[in-house]
Amino acid sequence: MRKVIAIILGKIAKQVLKRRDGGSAYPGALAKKICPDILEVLIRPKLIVAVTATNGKTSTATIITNMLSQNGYTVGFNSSGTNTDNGVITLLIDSCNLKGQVVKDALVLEVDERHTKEVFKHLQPDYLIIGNITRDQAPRNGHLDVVMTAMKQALNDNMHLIVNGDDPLINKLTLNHKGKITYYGVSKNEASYVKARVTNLDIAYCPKCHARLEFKYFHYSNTGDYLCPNGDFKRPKIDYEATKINYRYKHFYINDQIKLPMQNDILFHIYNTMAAFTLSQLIGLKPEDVIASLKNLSFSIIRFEKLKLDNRPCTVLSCKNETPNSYDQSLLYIKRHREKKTVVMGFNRVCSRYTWSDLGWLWDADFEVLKDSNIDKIVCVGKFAYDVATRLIYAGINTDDIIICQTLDQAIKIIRKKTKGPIYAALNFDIVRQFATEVKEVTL
Amino acid sequence: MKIVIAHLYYDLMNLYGESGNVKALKKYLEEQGVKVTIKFLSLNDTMDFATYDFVYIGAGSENNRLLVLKDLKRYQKDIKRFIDENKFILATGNAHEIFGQYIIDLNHKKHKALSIFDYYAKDVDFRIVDEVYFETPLVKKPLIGFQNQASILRDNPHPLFTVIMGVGSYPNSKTEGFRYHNFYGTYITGPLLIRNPHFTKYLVKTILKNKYPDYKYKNINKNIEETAYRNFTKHLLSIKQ
Repeated sequence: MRKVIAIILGKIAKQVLKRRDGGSAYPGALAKKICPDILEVLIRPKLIVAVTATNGKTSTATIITNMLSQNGYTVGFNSSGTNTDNGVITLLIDSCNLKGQVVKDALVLEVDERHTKEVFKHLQPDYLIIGNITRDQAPRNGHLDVVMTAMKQALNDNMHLIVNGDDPLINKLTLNHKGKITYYGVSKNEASYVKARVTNLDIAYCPKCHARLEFKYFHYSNTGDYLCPNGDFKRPKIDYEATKINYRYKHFYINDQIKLPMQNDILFHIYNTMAAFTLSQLIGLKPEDVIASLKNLSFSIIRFEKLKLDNRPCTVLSCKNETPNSYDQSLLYIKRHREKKTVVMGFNRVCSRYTWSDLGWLWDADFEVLKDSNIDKIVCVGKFAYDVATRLIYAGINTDDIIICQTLDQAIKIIRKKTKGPIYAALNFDIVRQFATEVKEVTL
Repeated sequence: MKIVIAHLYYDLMNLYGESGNVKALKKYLEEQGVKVTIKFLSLNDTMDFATYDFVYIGAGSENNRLLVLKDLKRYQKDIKRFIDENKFILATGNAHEIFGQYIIDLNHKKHKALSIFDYYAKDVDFRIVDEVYFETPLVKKPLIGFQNQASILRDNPHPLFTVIMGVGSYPNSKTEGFRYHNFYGTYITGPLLIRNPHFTKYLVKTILKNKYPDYKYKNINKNIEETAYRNFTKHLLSIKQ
């Protein structure tokens, strides 16, 4: 009875909220209050896929949802960024009938790394995709040991893990996993590099014997091909590897055999696509059907947008403050495009989740990449523009090439008047949309 | 003029952008015309304290801190001499715990520390996270920064700071940090020498006067860093109200 009441009230709450603003985990919180074991008493669909990662959860889950839908599945997905346990309950309540039976063929759950433990205790996925683990939101997470300990408690041997084999921290996390693991990865390509760019890798030592890890190459941060000199730990054999990556013509191959299209030329998008492709092969989809669904991918990737500002190409790269890797990817993307260019960086809030303004992460991100990226000017914008400018000076950027402004309005005026070349805007989530909107307005 | 900086356990004690501190020190010293060498050293590396002028260690996970303590015990006597000879150590975040009497972990196990100073540290089952606004008589303006730790420091005879905002050495403490001769320890994490140009200037003057008594400080334009400091101070005071 409690179950039915929880479902009904949850569904009503969801409808009411949908009319107001959409994404909220409140219906789930309400249902859990009425029926604390709600996750256990609902009847599961035949396929549950969970996605967790520091970066790219939403993109990966969206690609998977799209792929499954186009291959005949009905799919429920907590797509509004509600990736905590209450968010997952909200999704289930929305996807079930009054008997508590989930009426979709599949559920795709995007789950915050530290909430995996809570969610999986009650609702275990058939497949768990782990995309990457890296330092993120230190005031909330403390450090990676805290995150990894929580994630370790979430795993059990009945889950089939689909993991990024290039990330040594995921390998460390899954060392004792006795269940199935399928690895995906990215092969060495034109953007890989051999010498570590930073001294503060998230993992520098073998988790078994504490010998210093050796890297054959890096894709970014500590992601790449690594091994322990004593043979205790290494990049696993990759089951599905992205090879022959061609950023220019936007395609790559799986194990040199199956050609896949790319919506854009971002490395991270390849990783997300590889996660989805690997899943597709484990659940028996045909490669050609998967490729068709990837071509029809209709979502706009939140991280990335190509605009024009006065006939100059303007690439908008959303970055996540407090996640140095998110900046590193944008910076390496900027470097890969060799023409003389203008870069815009900044934010008004360090984090939307809390009022603290911790700025340490600025020194963990590899802004040094910009030093040899053929830059005309870098425009620093927002409340912390002087902190960003300080970081850039230390990264080796000439003070004369740095322009500081307080508002986006001012920044766009200055970009139009005083800078040259294509524009790359590596802005935090808090101002990136506003920037894109203003660029569109002045270009109209 | 020549200064050798040893950045110890750079690859283990580096949680919150600590690498910025050594970069700041190097830049400020070079602007004074000093030739700076940085030695990056870690587990099992040979260390020669007699050749260093300045030692830096940053914040690490609770586990890595104990790993580092174990490794550093090889040089307990050298470190003690280094401090007695008025040479410089800056230990930020939980790194300064290593120099005390012992560290008690969450399982109540007591790990004997370097036992150079009287304080001891204890791990707690919550994290202490806060903005920092700390005063010290060494410089005119307070220091800004952040603290993020799962341990506390007790029995501290020589605090470095008075707490204006922030948690301090333990919940509701009025003081924070530790100073003895030229040893500076603090729970402030991350790039404090970047964010507090006035304190870095003080350190650089003290380091150089100590080694080269005739040295005169050259004024360098730090407008961008100083504006960042001023803006942040304003921001801090506005959220306090």
